[in-house]
Amino acid sequence: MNEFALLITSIECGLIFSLPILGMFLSSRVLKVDDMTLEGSFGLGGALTALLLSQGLSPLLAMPLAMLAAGAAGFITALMHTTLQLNVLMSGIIVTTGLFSINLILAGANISLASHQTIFKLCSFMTDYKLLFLALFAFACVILVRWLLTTQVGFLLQATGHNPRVVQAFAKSPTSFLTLGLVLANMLAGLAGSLLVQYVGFFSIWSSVGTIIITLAGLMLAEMLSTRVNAALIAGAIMYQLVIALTFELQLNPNWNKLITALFIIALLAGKKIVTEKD
Amino acid sequence: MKIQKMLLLTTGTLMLVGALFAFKHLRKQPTHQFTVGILQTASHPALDAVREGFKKQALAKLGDVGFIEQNAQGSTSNAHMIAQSFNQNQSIDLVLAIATPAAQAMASLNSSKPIVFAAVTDPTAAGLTGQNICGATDSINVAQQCALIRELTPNAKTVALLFNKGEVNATSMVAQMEPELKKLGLTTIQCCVTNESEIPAAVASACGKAEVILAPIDNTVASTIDFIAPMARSRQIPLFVSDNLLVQRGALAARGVDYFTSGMTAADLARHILIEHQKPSALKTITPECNTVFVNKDTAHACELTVPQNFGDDVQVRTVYDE
Repeated sequence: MNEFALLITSIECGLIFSLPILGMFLSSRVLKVDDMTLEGSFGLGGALTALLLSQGLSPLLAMPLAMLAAGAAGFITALMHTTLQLNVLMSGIIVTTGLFSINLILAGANISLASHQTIFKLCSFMTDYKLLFLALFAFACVILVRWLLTTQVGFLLQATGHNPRVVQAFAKSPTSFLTLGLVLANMLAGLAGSLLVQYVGFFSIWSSVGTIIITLAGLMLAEMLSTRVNAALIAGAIMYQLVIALTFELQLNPNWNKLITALFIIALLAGKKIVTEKD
Repeated sequence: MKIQKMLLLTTGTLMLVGALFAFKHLRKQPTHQFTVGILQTASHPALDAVREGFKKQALAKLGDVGFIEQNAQGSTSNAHMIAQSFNQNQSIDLVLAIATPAAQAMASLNSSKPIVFAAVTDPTAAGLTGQNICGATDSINVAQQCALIRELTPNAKTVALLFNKGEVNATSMVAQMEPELKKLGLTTIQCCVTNESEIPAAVASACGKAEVILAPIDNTVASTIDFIAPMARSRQIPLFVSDNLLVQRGALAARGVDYFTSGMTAADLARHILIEHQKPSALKTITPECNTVFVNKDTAHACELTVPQNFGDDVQVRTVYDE
């Protein structure tokens, strides 16, 4: 078991990050808008969870609340985009910037959850519970989103991205579907933030910085495998974490880690291009 | 097409997993008597000083010791992964965790490997209280540090506290500093930033509103000291810091932590654990003694201040730096 610990950890981190990747898929691929709010709502989910858990609230309550708050962040981005006509990238960045302060006000710079209840401690009666639990969450979310996209709402969400006029032809408002999509995407990111905080046992204000890179890279890796909502999204997230784990195992000068990660992604994307050209 | 993609997925993942294991086995086999894994939260001058201080002292006191250095570059999940990698690395005898998030990541594994932390301000609040954990804090004597302002600038009325709200070490220290400064009859204003790019505006604002700037232990301030110190100096605003090394870089004065020494203290703890086989829980958390006042003579001159030579019996004043 000990031999595989790093592998398991990579998979577990990948499972957590597959949720914002799923959110990024919803916003970037289904709605065709790139939502940068995900980074902020990932942090917000973590900050609120840490605050509520440190106040003694049950994780079963804290996690839905964190998701709701993150969804609200997405709602604000959508509102800025639809009512103020702001560029969606800009709105996302503004909300993420603002959320940094909100997160600081909520949780401060660092909260330790060592002596507080977390969802993982709740279900520690199973062996390998973290992996199983996270896999359950990730797959459940993928299946839910996949199912959602087959419903009428899902059809309209996809239409909003492809051609808003189609949505109008059905006498529905593309604005409300865009809003719904962004709220859902951010709820997924918020859930991931909440899970990460509980998984590592502490909240740090810096932990959400860079989430958007992990998310975009993971999504691109996933798209090498499939452009639809399925296990490929989870695989992409896990592959990205494996690359990171690998840079640690290489034991080179730590300053090189990010460059190695970047080069690895370039190599994989080049691989993707070759494969798609063959098709 | 579907099959090709499946193949790609399988090969890709297998290659990664394979490489992970290959590197695990190919990595340099330990040839040292002791191996210390160093998990650093981020790249930063003070944290780097801790690492160098530790390495210097460890080489002197532990003899044949090797280091495996990793840096989480600020990311929580990276810190967790490195901690896991250290934990399963049989050759690592002890882990040095530099700064709070790294120590928390290591502690959360409930590993049996001894953990020595350094550059942690409040280990209890950070939850670093396990059986196999001990370390050196970077907390300072806040009252003495604040009294230094009265000694050097007796006429000051308003103190601007310059710090990053996102750093737990800074915020907790500011919370202690504010009542101390009030006791001394000083008014405080907070000039907070959330990242390095906001420092110029914050310093300009601080210089306009207060006669003195005081910075707690703060990574953002430390990283931007080469901007802050000359600016405060050019406006004749005395800049007090809590990290002694920053005085050398142009701040006026400090009575605080020397991160290099702090790293050496952590190495002494490592020696107790590895050579004398003491249990980490039996070793106390070491708080640095701050009985040296560091004053930058040039800056004092620029601010037209006279430096009193006597701060108390056991206090040394160091005004010269051998750069």
